[in-house]
Amino acid sequence: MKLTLSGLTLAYPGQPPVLNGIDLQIESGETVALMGANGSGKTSLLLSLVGILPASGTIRLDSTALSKKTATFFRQHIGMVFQNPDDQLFSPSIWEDVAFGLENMSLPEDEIRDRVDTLLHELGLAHLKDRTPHDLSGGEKKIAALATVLVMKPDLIMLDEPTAFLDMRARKRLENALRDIPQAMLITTHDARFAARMCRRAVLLDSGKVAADGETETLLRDKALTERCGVDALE
Amino acid sequence: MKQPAPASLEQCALQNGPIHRIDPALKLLMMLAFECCVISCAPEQICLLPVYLVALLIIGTIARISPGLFFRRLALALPFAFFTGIWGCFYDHYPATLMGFTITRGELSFLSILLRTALCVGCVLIYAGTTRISMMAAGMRRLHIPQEIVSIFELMWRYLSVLTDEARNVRTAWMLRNGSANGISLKYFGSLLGGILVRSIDRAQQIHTAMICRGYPAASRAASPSKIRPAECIGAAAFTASCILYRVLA
Ligand SMILES: Nc1ncnc2c1ncn2[C@@H]1O[C@H](COP(=O)(O)OP(=O)(O)OP(=O)(O)O)[C@@H](O)[C@H]1O
Ligand SMILES: [Mg+2]
Repeated sequence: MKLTLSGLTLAYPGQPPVLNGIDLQIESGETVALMGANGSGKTSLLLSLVGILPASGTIRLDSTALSKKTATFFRQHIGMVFQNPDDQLFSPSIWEDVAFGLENMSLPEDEIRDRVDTLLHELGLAHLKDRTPHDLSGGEKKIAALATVLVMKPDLIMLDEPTAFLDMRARKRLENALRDIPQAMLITTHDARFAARMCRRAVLLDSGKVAADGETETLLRDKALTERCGVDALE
Repeated sequence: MKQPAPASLEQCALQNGPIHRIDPALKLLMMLAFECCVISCAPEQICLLPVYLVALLIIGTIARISPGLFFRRLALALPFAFFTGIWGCFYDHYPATLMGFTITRGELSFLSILLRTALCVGCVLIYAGTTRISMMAAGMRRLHIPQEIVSIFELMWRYLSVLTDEARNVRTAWMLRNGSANGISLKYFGSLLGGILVRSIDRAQQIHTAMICRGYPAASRAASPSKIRPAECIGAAAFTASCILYRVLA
C-alpha cells in the first residue's frame, strides 16, 4: 500500500484555504504523526483523504486516484477513528457498532460474529459487548471506537487525537493496543511525547503547508520549528 | 453467572433465541399478517381477540422478551388508544352484549380499540425485541423495499437514540447549574428543546459521516441474513395461515 498526496488544497466555502498544496507519501506499515496548532487543518486533511471533504489536487492509493467513483474503495482501505468517540459509536450496543462496518462489506454472518468476538476479546472489551456506548467511560469509548475501525482491517488507519481526554492508564492501554497494529497509521496529536513514543516519523503543518517532514524526535526538539508551528516541543 | 435483564429492546434483540433466528423478512411478513387479522376484527368480533392475545404472549415468552420491559413500552402506547376510544362511550348508547353482559356499543368499541392496539403494538415490540436494526433493514431490502426508504428508516432509528442522548446530557447540565432536582421548568423548556435539537442535528451529521467512512450505504453489499431455510418458510406459512383461517372461519 502506498498513499500519495500531491498538491492537496482545501478551502471551506467563503474562507481562505485551510490546506494549501500538501505533498505527502505514506507507505505500508509506517506510523506517522500529523501535528500542528489548533485549526491548522489536521482533521480536515484526514476527512479529505476518504472523500468526505472535496479537496483539489490528487490523492492516490497505489495506482487508484480518489474520485466520487472510487471513494468507496478508499473507505474500505482507509479507516478513520474520530476525535470524539460519541460521533463514532451510534449503535445500541458495542457489539453491533463493531459489526456495522463488516455488515456493509457483506461478509457472511458467521464470519462477522467471529471477527467481532475475536477483536473485542483481544482489546479487552468482551465484557462490554452488550452495553450501550453512551454508558461507557471516555477511555472505554476510545478503545471501542478504535475497534469499530480495526475490525475492518484497513491498510491505513487514521486516528484523530486518540489520546485527548485520556488519563495515564487509559493512554497506556490505548498505546499498547496501537503498538500491536501492523497496518500503517496516520495519527494527529498535540501530545509531543506520545508522538515521539509511537511514531518514528512526523509531519508538521503550518499555514496550510507541510512545514517539516522527518524523524519525530529531531523535529520536536527543534525549538524554532515547533514554536513556528505552534506545537509542543520535546524537553 | 446469571445474565442481567436487558435494559432495552435493542439489547433483547442481541440475544440468540429461536424467534431471533427466524429470517427478518419472514418475520416482517408474519407481523403484517397478524396485524391485518387483528385490525380487521369488528367490535362485535371482540371475542376473537383473546386467542390472538394468548398467541402473542406465548411468542413473547419464547422470544424471552423481559415482561417488565414489554409492558412498560406497551403502556406508552395505550393512552393514545384510550383517548381515541373513550369518546364512543359518551355518544353511542346503543345496547350490545359481551359474554352475556349487556353494555353499550360505545363501550364495546372502546374495549375493542384498546385490545387491538395492545395486540398490534405488542407484536411490533416483539419484532423489535428479536431483530437487530441491521437485520430489519436487510429484511426490508429482501422484500424489495426501495433503498431510500430503508435508509430513512435506519437513520431515523439512530437519530432517536442521539436525540435521547443529547436530551439526557442537556437535562443533566441544566440540573447541575439550576440546583433543583424537580425537572425543567416550563419557562426554560422551549430554549432547552431548541438547544437539544440543534446539538442533535450536529451530532447526527457527524454520525452520518462516521457511517459513510465505514462503507454506508451499501445496498448491494449490505448485511444479508443467511438463506431462508425451508423449515422457516413452512413455519411462517403455518403461522400466517392459522392467523388468517382463525380470523375468517371463527
Ligand atoms: N465545517 C466547517 N466549515 C467551515 N470552516 C471549518 C469547518 N470545519 C473546520 N473549519 C475551519 O477549518 C480550519 C481547520 O479545522 P480543522 O478542524 O481541520 O483543524 P485541526 O487542525 O483539526 O484543529 P484541532 O487541533 O483543534 O482539532 C479551522 O479554522 C476551522 O475553523
Ligand atoms: Mg481536529
